[in-house]
Amino acid sequence: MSQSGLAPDGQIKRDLVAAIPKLRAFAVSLSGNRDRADDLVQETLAKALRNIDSFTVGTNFLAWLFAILRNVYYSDFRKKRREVPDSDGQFSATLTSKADQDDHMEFLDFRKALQLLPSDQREALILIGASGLSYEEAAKICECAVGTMKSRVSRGRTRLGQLLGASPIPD
Amino acid sequence: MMAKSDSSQVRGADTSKVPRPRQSQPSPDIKDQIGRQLKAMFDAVANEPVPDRLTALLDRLDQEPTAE
Repeated sequence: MSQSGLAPDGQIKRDLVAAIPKLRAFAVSLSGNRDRADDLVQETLAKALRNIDSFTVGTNFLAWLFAILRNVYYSDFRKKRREVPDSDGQFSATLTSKADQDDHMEFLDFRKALQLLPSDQREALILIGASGLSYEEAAKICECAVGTMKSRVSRGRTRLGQLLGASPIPD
Repeated sequence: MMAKSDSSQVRGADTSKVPRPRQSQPSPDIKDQIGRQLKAMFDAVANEPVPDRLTALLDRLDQEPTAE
């Protein structure tokens, strides 16, 4: 399959393909819009390939890709942010259709609550709570100190707890 | 932490040093729930099949010289 022998392109491509699902998940979390999320991932993949030389071997490839995606989002996509995603509409509907039936209501409430957080806290919670990256990696992605990342996660959790606690959800 | 409002006034109300009104920390249950929901939300998308256009893009880019 790899015609070029030692050329790492085949491996890079495999790594990129393997990263796409998580890139999409992160992109949806950031943009709150599924179509835009795929544009975001597309741009990220292209950019990653163009700049593959700047990846430091031995570091977390996914974290590197997340950083690219985040930069693409904040540079190219923030302008369009006025078009606030319809959190009750198509987006949530698609998402909840994937969720467990039992979690249905719970899930909608959670999404709404998450959208009410400042974006830095939301992003921190997603990176730490969902993507499986470390605080160090997440801090690097967001270009902030590790302590700042910890505090964002903590404040985000507290706020979410308040929002969710207002309507307790039976377990 | 108790009776902080009095002492801070005496010290010139340096509000930057005064802890913000204590926001109750989420209970372990709520924390668990938040973690579970975050993962569920993330995984719901991550477990979807990758749209063809994204894998097709990689195939296409792969054909092009990567050096620019």
